[in-house]
Parts: sequence; structure tokens; C-alpha cells
Amino acid sequence: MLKVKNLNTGYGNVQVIYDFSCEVNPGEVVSMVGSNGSGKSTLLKTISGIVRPFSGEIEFMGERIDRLPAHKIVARGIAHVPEGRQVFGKLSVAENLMMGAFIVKDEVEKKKRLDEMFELFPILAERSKQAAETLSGGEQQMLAIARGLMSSPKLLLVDELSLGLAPVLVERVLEALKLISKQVTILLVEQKVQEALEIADRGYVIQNGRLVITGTGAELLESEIVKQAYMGM
Amino acid sequence: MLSQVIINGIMTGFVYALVAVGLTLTWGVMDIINFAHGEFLLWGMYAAFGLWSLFSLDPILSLPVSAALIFILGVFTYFVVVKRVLKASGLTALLATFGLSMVLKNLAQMIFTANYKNVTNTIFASKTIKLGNFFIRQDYLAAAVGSLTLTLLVLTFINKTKTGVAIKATSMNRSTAQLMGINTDRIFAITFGLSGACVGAAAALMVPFTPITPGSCTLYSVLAFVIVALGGFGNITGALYAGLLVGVVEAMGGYFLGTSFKYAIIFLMYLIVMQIRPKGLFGW
Repeated sequence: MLKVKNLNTGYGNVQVIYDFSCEVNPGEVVSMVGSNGSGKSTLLKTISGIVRPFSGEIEFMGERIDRLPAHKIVARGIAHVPEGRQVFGKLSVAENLMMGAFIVKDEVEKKKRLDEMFELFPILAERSKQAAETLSGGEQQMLAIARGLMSSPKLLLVDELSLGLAPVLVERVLEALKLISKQVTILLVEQKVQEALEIADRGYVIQNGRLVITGTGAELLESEIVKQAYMGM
Repeated sequence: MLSQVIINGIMTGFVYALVAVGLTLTWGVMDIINFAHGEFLLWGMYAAFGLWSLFSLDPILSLPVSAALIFILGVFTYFVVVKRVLKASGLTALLATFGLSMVLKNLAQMIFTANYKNVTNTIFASKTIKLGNFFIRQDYLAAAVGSLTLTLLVLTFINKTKTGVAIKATSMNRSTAQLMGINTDRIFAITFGLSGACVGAAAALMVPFTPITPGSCTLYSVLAFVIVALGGFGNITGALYAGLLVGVVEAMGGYFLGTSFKYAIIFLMYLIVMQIRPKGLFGW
């Protein structure tokens, strides 16, 4: 579904990701893990077109997307839930969700999806008229995910779900993500290595912008390198 | 007499507000200070003047044309001048629009000369309505009602339409807006166009009682900046209130201290407000 080949990317003259390749197959949950500053977010931004790659290829559904502007990549079926939630603070919850469905022309279809999101996250229905900035961190994260789903993406990129959330909330949001993964393919980027690998079919470990090891979620959790570097064992 | 002065001030204030709404769109939304905003107004006025002198079209009737022409000027400005320097550092965009303002002003002087041009014999010219003890000039009233209507239209557009909400979303977070599938380039162009349409319409409403000369746009430009700052950046209702405030202060300053001091009073008020409330009277 998504194929990244020999990707080099970064900002200006600062290279962040070196010769990175990865793959996401339909129906999978894939987790990219690594410490802060390892380049995970930059990778997602490059896939969604916010950052231009230096070289390499990104292929989605068999077509190159690495030269497309971000808004066209959304139309191809990739939605990106950015790091730090980035909800539109002064807009209401409902308006935020409607922005998520910006590329959808059919008003009936939009309304239907809105109702689906409200069903998935009932708290958002309760707060639909409230400004997004008045929501708690966990609620904002749910809003950000729901907003991403509003475009009915084939692939959902999720960046640092756990950032700034209390552990109990991280669990709840991950639960929601698991539910969603039955319908949407998910590429998750996360610092919380254990949690991310537990829900993943496969994972990639990134260090300093380079791929270190890849395997199934369970394999990686058992691997020496992950245990030593990220779980203090 | 004083209440008569205040009424006149309020009517002028509505027109100022519309000019400021145009500026607050580009400033608040795109974070771009368009120094050529006053020149947009100037060209709007010359557009209305041209349509009047060539085709005897009353400015009120040709308002949609003036608005459309300056809308196009706005879109053109975005693609030709602003877009190229959008990612450049610091004051580049500001200097670019400053350069544009020079070009537009001097081009106007070259074509229309520095002599005052007047649009006369318009529909509402030299007619008044008597309300109790007050006399209300019809051309002022038409400008006030037209400006208020258009300001409310812009407000509705921004708050209620899909494109309007996308403009707001883009102003809050440009890259996240792109992740929603919003073509932010297009949004910027529309915003610049809309900004131009506001001043194009304001120009058409003003020309029946405002002599046109290339030098006059600087004052309107500065007044618009003051109103936007007082109203809070990007805040359309704030610009409306601040426009009314400036209109009334101007009229009262002129009444009590003489017309030569009326602008000094406005700028003094601005200085004081900025010391106390830097985000403006109605800022977020």
C-alpha cells in the first residue's frame, strides 16, 4: 500500500532521515518507534507532503506521491494526525471535524461521517459546539484522530499519540485506535515503545534518522536492542 | 450640534471599518502586512471615477465592478508579489508590498495626474434626510449602510461558509490546514482578493463625497492600520467597532479642537491604547 524507498529528507540543509525504506500493507498497524529527535515525525511529514524529500521515492497505491503538494496527497487517501494534536483552537469541535472532510464534496456524506465520529467518540458529540481549545488534552487527541478519519482515508498516519497525555488517557486513546484499525490501515509513530509495539502488527525502530531493526511487534519487544535501548532491561 | 457630529462620525466610521476589514483579512489571516492597502483603495476610487466619467455610471451602481476589479488586483498581488516572498525571512513581504504601494501610487499619478478628481451629481449628492433635529446627508448614509452591509456579509462568509472556515483554519495553522486537504495557496489568493473587494467597494461608496488624489491614500492606509490594531488582528467585529470609534473620535476631535487636529487625536488615542492593551481593544 505504502512503499518508502531509500528516502533522504530533512529541513533546509539539515538532513534528518538517511536512506530509509519501509512498507505498510493493507490492513496492518505499523509502528515506528524511537527516541525523541530520531526523525520519526519528519518521516510522516515527508509522506504527507508537508516536507519535501531530498531524494528517494514514496509510493502509495502504486503511484509516486513524493512530488505532490500536501493537499493532493490527502485526496489520494492519506490522512495525517499531526504531533501535538494541532486542533484548530478557535473553531468548534464540529467545525474542526468538517475541516477534516474538506475534500469531501457531498454534504450528505459529510453529515454521515460526522455522525459516525460522534458515535465513535461520544464526548465529541457532547462538546460539538465548544471551541476545540477548551477541550482537555485527551479529548483534543480524540478530536484530532476523528478529524483525520473524516476524509475516510485508506491510510491513517498518527504522530505521537501519547504526547502530553496521562497514562490512563494514552491507554484509552490507543483502545480507540485499535478499534479504528479494523477499518483503516494505520502507521503510528510513537515514543512510548512498549505500548506502540503491543498494538502493532509490525514495527520499525529508528535511531538518529536510520533504520535499526524491523520485525513483528512481538519480535521487536523480545529483541535485545529494543529491550536495552528503550525499556531499560 | 454635538449629537449631529457624533452621527456624522458614526457614518464615516462604518466606511473606515470596511477598509479596515479588508486589511485585517490579510494581516490577521496571512500575517502579511499589505502596505499597498491604501493604494488598493485609491485604485478603487479611480475605478469608480473612470466608470463615472467614461460611462456616466453612478458609483453606487458600479460598486460591484469596482469591487471585482480590486478583487482581481488583490489576487494578482498575491500571485505576483506576495507568494514569491512568503517563505522569505523577516520583513521581506512587508517591503515587497511597500514597493508595490510605490508603484501603484505613482502609476496613478502618471495616469490621472496629482490634481483632485471629483465625482459629482451622484444619486444621493446634496440631499439630506431630516430626522427630528438632525440632518443626515444621503450620500453619507448610503456609504454607512453599504459598508455595514458588506462588513456583515464578509463576517457571514468567514464564519458560515466552508471556504470562510478554511480561511480561519489556515490562519490558525497553515500546515495542519494543508493536512486537511486545503489548498492554502488558493485560500491566500482568495483572502487577498476579498481584502481587495472590501476596499474596492468602500472606494465606490466614498467617491461621491471624497476628492481623489494619489497622495490621499497614505492617510487612509494609516487609519486602516490603526483601526486593525485597535480592533485586534484578524478580528472582523473588532475592526467594525474600532472603525466606529475612530470615526467618532475623528468627528469629535474636529469639532472640539479644529479639523487640523482631528487625526492627531486619533493617533494619540492609538498610542495610549497600545500602551495599556497591546493586543487591541477587542483582541483575542
